[in-house]
Amino acid sequence: MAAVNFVRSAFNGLLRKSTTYKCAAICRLSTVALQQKCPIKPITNSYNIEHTQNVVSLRKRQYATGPVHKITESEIQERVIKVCKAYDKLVTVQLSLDSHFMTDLGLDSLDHVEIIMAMEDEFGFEIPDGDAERLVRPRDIVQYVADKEDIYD
Amino acid sequence: MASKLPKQTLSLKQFLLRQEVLKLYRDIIRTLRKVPDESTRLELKEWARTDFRNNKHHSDETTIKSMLHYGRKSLDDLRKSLALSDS
Repeated sequence: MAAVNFVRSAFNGLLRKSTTYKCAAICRLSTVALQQKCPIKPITNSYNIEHTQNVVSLRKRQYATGPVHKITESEIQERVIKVCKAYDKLVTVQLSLDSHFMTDLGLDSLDHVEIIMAMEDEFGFEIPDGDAERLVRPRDIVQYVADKEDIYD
Repeated sequence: MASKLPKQTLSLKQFLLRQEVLKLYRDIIRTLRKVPDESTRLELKEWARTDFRNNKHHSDETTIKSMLHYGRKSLDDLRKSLALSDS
């Protein structure tokens, strides 16, 4: 009976700070257990196994934050060059950050549209038409993405 | 389609038409992203690509407008069939 109560309350309450483990995943289990003076271990084993394995440190407070990994400019550059090289007309061409799509690389405006759409897919956000027109070199694209992601303060 | 070389400047009408064409191309690619089946999506993309490229040499305004009309109609058909397949 007590075990059923544990499980029920555990499933009802989520993400409350536990007083013993300092792990948000343990939630109400520990407070309920403290009241009932029963061991947590067997319950956590059955219910929260994946959560405990994902905990970074038992002592650390956990807050909801945005993505921890901040993208760097060199990573953006790599990805832009990678997308450009993956474009079929640019596979064999030697490509630098400053090469102009139309004058240096001989692409036309339809190719330009395709490349910008490929960049949208790569970085996951939409680029409006007005901005897309101005992005005529890989370096411009890198700058644009960096501005969007607020790399520079 | 009017010339795209930077040396030659376009009249306003030609410029606007060109922008329409590019916008249509962009909208087509965006809509094609939603196609659920991978091979169909690639096929349609290739089809759109070759169609646009084969017709890009036109310089007559009427021809360009009729091509635009055909393109927009195709895009509408695509959107409708996507809406049907989603529901």
